[in-house]
Amino acid sequence: MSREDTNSIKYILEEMDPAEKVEFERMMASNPDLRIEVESMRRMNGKLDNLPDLDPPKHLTDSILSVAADQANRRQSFKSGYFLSAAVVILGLTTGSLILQGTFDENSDSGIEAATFSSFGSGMSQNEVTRTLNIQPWVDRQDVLRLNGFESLSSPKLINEAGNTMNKLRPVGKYPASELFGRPVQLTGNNR
Amino acid sequence: MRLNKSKNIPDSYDQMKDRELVALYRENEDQLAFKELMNRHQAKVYSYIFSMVHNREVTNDVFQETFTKVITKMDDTYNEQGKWIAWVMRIAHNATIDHIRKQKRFVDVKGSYDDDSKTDFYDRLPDEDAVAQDEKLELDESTSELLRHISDLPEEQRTVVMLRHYYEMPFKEIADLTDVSINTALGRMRYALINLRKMFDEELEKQPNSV
Repeated sequence: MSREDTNSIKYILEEMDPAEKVEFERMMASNPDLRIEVESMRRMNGKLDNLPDLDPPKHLTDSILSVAADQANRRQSFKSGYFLSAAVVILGLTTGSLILQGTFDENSDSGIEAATFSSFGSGMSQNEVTRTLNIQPWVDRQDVLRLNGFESLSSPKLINEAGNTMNKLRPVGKYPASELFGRPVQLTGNNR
Repeated sequence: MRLNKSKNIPDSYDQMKDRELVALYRENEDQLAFKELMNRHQAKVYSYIFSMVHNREVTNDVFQETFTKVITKMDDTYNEQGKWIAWVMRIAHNATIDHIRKQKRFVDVKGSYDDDSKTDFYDRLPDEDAVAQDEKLELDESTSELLRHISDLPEEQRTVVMLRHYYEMPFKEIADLTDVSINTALGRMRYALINLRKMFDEELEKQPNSV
């Protein structure tokens, strides 16, 4: 189909740009047949305005809205599950990170206190142990860990657990077993 | 035509653009936003389908199929850059054409091309449902006649007429939707109007009072 054939349709449906429109109107002015064709098509196109708008039955729209609601609910559930999963992953990562950090601290100089006390009576927090025992750890110039305060122990259970802890540490020099809490020890997990 | 506004839909939704309502439905699961979209467009989509298949039952089926696809595919295939209703119309158009093709599929005759109407046998084959076009509809005589003539148009021409009428779709969009050039879409519109004029003229000649 040539452009000339479709120009009348473009004209009546206002699909022409201004320049095309001016040119087409100039052609119509000099061509009576073209004017008749355009007028005929305009009249026919005008009849299409009588086409009715039909409404879908209510039961049909209700049914579609119900499908839309189901889909929205499914999406909501999916999102909830997604956020729950994300929360679990974040919690897991955070916990793992803290555990790793704790392990690192146990192996560092600054974690001497924690390393020493965490092996005491399970179920007791570090603060509780510190408060109960009043033990003061310190490191001398030869990197020897010294713990003061064991003399205040009175509970056999605590004495036993403190002894187990001291046995895990390497003694500096030779000391009799009776001087378990009085001997100097070297921090075995030192990262140096 | 806009339907009566639902009492549940907030007034502010009236002012929103389609894409804003789509975003509310997609991102916030706002069912009232979807209801507003339906409210705006359902009559035109339904009318378009009916004008193509001419049967209430089939129109209901195709309409339901269209909106079920709209709901389930909106997350995956609708790009918010495009007009939502153009996307919906593409689905409605494809579902309608699928139905029409299914109706014609089992006719085993050789198509012959008619130069006058620019159609082949398949295009001229009337839809089975067309005869029942005004069933259950209370339409005046001239509207019934118009619908009857439109139903006699070849499918391609009818499609262009309806997309243009119900959606005032630019021919660029009609061409995209129907996979043809703009010039072909314009040509189909022109032949549709010429054919309709012929049909009305023939109808007029058949009337006893006509000269």
